[in-house]
Amino acid sequence: MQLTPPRRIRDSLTVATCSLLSIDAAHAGYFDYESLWNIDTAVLLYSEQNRVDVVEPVLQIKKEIGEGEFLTVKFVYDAMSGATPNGAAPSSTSQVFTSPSGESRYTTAAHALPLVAFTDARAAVSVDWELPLSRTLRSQYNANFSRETDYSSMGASASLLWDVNSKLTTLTAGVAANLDQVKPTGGLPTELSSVGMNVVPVNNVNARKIEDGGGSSGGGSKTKNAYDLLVGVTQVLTRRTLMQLNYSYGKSSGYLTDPYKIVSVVNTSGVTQDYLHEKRPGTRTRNTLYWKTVYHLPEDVVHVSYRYYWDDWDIKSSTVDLTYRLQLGTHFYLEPHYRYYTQTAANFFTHAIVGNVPAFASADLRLAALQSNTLGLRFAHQLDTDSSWGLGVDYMHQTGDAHPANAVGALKNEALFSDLKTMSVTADFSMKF
Amino acid sequence: MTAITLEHRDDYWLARFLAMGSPCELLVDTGDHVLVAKLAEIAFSEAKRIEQKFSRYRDDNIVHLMHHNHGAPVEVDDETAKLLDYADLCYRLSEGLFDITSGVLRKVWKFDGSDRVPAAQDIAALLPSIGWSKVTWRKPHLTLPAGMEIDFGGIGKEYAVDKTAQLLRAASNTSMVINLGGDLFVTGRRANGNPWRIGIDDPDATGQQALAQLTLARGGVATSGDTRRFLLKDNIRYGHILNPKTGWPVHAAPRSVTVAAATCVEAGMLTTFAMLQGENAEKFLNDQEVQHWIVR
Repeated sequence: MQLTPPRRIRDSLTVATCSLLSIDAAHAGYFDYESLWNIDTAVLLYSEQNRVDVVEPVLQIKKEIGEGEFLTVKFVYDAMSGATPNGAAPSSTSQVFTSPSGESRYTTAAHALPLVAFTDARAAVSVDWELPLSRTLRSQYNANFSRETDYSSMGASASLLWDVNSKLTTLTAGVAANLDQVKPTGGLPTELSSVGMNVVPVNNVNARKIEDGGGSSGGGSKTKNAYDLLVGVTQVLTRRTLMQLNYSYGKSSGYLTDPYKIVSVVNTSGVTQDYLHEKRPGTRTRNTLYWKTVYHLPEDVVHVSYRYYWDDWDIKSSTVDLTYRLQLGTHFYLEPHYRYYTQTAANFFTHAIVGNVPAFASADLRLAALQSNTLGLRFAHQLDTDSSWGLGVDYMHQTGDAHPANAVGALKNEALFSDLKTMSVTADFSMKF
Repeated sequence: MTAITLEHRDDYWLARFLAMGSPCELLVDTGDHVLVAKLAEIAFSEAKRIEQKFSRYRDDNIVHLMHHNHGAPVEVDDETAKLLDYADLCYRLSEGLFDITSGVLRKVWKFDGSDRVPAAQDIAALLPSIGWSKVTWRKPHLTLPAGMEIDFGGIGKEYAVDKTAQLLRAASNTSMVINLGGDLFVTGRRANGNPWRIGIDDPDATGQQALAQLTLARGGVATSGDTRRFLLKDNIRYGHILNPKTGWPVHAAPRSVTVAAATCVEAGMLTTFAMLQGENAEKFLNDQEVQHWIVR
């Protein structure tokens, strides 16, 4: 004997089950669930030895607004002050520079790396929305906006995460777009023109032109835009091992030059003749491969990752990251962390221009060949089920070639790359209520 | 002293205990073992309370009273009334296939892997004692004809899972999984934002091989079917899912059905219904649009 199956009985069953369990039927899908507020706060103190200091408070609020649907809002504020290399090469005599605003001058002593003082503040807000589309498909959306005195940025991204293979495998695809505007203090310099010759004042009709002459820059602000595409796969290999592989491709175009960086022009004896505003290519095509493995020991967790990056400026970089989470009883853990980073120089990087002015030139040391080692340690304490705090310290030592083989004349005697040492301290507190 | 053991696993605590004749587990997403001990005690007490209240094997509970009142009405408490209302609705939704009076068939069917299939006349002799329609249920009074029995076994474990989960949620916001003998409920996403990963056992290799892995942020999972409970005679396999109308095993019932739903009770009832549909189990669950796994 076989009966025809009852068709759709589930709705009646759901209502009856709610009544049995004394649950409000309107919230059947939630089963007595109360959505929590997750608040994360942190303060980051970052300090470069003899250079920049940054204080960065962060506030993040996350809330589940539907079944598996999350909304996150994050606020970040940066207060930056200190001194940063202006790009000019050290010299055997003292050098005098005009500040970016054009209103003052500063002097760098002989043999010292020229640094320019600055202060700035940046405020950023970002919103993340995570929305499940089906049992195996999730979507994530992000919008972000940031602003500082001379720079504003807005961006958006979307990604899809698809669980396959009984959820042992997750496939990811994402797209992001960014639009930035730079409005340099003191005006927009003409690229590769002599410093101080042709600054277009902005915002201030009384701004003093240091000198008049030279070409015009055609406006007080410039834009750049970027897009990025990402594909990835995350695989549960064993109960204890998770592996992730991502590839991303991105392209930036527009004004990629740093309006505050200058390049020394030297003669064959290495003596400075002039300073030019730097110029970078108008496009940059970027590629990144990223591999990460997380291995769970009975108590501890090991993270190993490797990132390889290459772009059409000829920068190739490798990052190796090792993190070990050492569980100390049930309420504490200690997380030592090591990172090694190395990169090759951009093809238009130069410490100084000798002879003809090339099509592109920058002496920004961040585009030089360099290596860095970072050691970090984080300590975290779970106070109760709903709150925890942590404290982390990172020390980084960045090195480069101070005496490159192609240095000319007197520059052979100068340290063209100065080591950079940075220390950062992060204190964070998280709670749910 | 209660027999609860606590173990610290990779990144959660695991409490184990025995209740309702099954191994039970409580997984707590915390590092706080004091909290785990407290929650495990709550889970153990609630599971034991429901077991004792609705067990057929005790002489001090409401079920015993129903069975020994010689056809006179019994006034039941609110919790029992709700379960009877639920069983009544399930009887109607399943067109009589889910019947809490069918437990008496156990007197002749012993699914021990042997070939002892009961005689047709012994089965037929029990049929007059089966049938929810013969019971008078006027809340709060239940009148059970003499010789008939009520068996909450088809709902009890899943009901205990959901009730226990409610108490646990009231006691802590921490994400937990309460698992009573394979029927379970997940209270919420873990602190790191991830769902729990639940392995669904292959019924032929219980505890050794997972049939599928399910990620669950919240909700209930129940499994029906036990491949070790059957009879085999003249090359015919008799599974343990019985049709209360005939007294014989349901033809072509799946070996195992697992369903994930908003609550464990709902998941459990859908697995039972699917089993009772026999060869139409797949179609039935597809029509319900629930996440499910069927082993044939």
